[in-house]
Amino acid sequence: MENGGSSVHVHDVGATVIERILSEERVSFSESFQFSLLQFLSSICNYEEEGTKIPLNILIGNRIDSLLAYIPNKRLLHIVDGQISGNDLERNLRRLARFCIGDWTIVIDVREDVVAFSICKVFSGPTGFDLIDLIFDNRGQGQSAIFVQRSSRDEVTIFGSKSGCSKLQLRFARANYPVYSSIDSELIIDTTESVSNDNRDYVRKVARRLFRTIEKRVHGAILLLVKNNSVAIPELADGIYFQKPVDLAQAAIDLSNGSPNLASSEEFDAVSGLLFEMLNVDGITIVDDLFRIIAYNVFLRTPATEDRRLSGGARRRTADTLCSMTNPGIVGVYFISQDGQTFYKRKSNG
Amino acid sequence: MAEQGLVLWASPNGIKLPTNFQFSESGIVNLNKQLKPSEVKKIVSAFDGQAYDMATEYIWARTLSRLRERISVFGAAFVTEMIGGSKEIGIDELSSVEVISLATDLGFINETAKLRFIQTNELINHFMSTKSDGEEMDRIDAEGTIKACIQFVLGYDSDNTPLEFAKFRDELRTEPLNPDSPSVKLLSISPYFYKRTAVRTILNLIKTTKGAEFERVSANAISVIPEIWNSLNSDDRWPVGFSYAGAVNDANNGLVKVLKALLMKVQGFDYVPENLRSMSFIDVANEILRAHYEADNFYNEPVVVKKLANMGSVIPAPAFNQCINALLCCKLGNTYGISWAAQNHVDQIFSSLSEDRWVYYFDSVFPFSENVLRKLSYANDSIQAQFRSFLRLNPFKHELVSVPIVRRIIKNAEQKEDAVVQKLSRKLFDELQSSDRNT
Repeated sequence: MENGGSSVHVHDVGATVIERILSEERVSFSESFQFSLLQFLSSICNYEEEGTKIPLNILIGNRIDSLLAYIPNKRLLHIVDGQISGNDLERNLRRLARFCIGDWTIVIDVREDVVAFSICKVFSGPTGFDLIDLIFDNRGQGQSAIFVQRSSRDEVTIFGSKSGCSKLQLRFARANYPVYSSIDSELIIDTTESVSNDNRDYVRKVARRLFRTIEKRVHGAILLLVKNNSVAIPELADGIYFQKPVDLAQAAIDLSNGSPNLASSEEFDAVSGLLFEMLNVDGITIVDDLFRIIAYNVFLRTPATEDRRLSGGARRRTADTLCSMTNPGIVGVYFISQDGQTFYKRKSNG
Repeated sequence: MAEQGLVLWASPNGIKLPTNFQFSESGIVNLNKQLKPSEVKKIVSAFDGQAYDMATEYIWARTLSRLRERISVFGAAFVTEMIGGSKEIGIDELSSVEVISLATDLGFINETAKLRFIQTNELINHFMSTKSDGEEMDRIDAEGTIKACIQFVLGYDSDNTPLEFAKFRDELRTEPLNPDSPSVKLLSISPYFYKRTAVRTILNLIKTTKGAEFERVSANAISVIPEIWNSLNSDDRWPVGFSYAGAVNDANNGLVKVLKALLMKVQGFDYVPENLRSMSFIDVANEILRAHYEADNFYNEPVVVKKLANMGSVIPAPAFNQCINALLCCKLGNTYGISWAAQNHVDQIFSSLSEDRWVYYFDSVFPFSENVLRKLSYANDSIQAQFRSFLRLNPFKHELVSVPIVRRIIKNAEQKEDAVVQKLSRKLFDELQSSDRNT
């Protein structure tokens, strides 16, 4: 194409990648449906309603019934049927989007003559596998589905049984921060290092499940991990310190002892929910290696962090400062960011 | 196993009692292998003093205690797997009938002993309860009970009795099995309870073993269970699905992989529960049966049946069989009558079932309902009348039931042909114990 004498080059990399994945996973629908779907997914990273950002989780495919048959302890609610042309796809998705805030997954089952829109949630307790773990594993056979999830404001994660996990990055700059150790293993190990041997495995499973949820429910935060009974850090004196730490490990252990009941489940949800809400409050949240919340709304007093509004660059500078501190009580720093720079750094790493 | 005859694990047929068996200290001492001399003295002393109920209760308690000890070797987790439900149950919490049933399934006693002991349990509970109206056990009842206890349990030296079931269990744990292995071939033609026990044993082993043993048991699970899957009724398929759901909740990746592979092989995902609510119903159904078979059942049954009635009007599919069987036992009662106070709640639950649920029950559940079939096989007038009343209060189109013998049972019950109902029920019951019943 010519435009005033110079050519215009169109690079539709995102569309190419996602079409390849759909083809590899043998998810089939009409061209018009696919067009509507991809058009909607284009806004998945920044989808919001009435000022609220909504982290969308969408499972799309054919024969979803047979796929979900493998999933125990689930609730699947059929909401509405749509057209196979996809003409009403965006309208139907907007009707369901809000449920993703409560961790429901939107399920789009494309059948021969109709598209069934449902929501699904797995209830596997504080330690169990969630939908992604169960749908896509090495034994997936005959599954024609993909799971699309907003990872950050410029990254989409797509799961498929054949294509595995693909991250579609919608940013231009490659990651310029060091790739720190795996959140899944080191953060969980360190947070529960001092929990008693008898309970440690169980508490680690609970921690794993909680930390997976954090990135969906927390919009930018710093978690500082310290050794239990370590001496107070003078630079972190400004904050709310609990006389009696909020014991997440004990809440999990209480749930597993005796006969779980509604009250104990509700209590665990409430106590574990405190972690998410504290992380959402300005400042640093401090957790020890007994998996207890020691403090939150804590501010670091150094010249570099005089600006108390911990957002964007200030939050990152604070995290870097904490990483470089030599205090022996510090175990690691977990930095959560909406722009994909989430990491966990152990203090022993260089 | 094959060299023992065509059984996976044999059960002892009882010691031979002399025809002139004496209910004296020397008579019992000569045959007894497990009671202490002081215990024998107490039994004989009570018997000679015509305190027949005391003598019987004493020896019965000792007999049950011996059976509990033998079962306890396999551990509480195994027992819970065999009983079903969500709560781990200690050996001491098992009802007498559960102990007797488990002891039979594991080959400690045979089917004859099981029948005798269940009747004994009912007899003793009756005389121990306040409903006996001062009636006392007579000598004949006491002699029958004492002889049975010695013949089937106390006459054996427990230390030397080989645990053949344990050998089969070890084979599952250590030997590679495939569909052509002699044990697997034998299992596929064995009576139903062998298959049920094998499935539960395998599930228990894959949950409790680790490392190389776990790998071996997992491989055996995928080889063995598909060979018998089609002959299992739903009560014994659901535990596989429940185990899978439990493994998901525990994030036990290894166990999830094995059980998912197994369920895929048998196309068994219909038996993966939507949620674990049904486990609570199964727990209560087990409580109803415990209350039914223990002393003072007439007073204890109403509380637990009411508990089930208050759990919701819809019984989840995975719990349906156990719940209806337990309720029907309550409805039929025992030789001495029924718990009247429980009947309203039983009827309330029954009345909520649709016709197709009753048709399903009589087609797919009733033919495997050991407790119900046993009652009808030896039913007295009271039980027969209760069965007729149950059918009258819960009408459905009997012609929709596809199993001919069950249709005949229902029809003859309505026509008050009690002897025919007994005979046909007995036939179904005997088939359960033999290799003839394969679905």
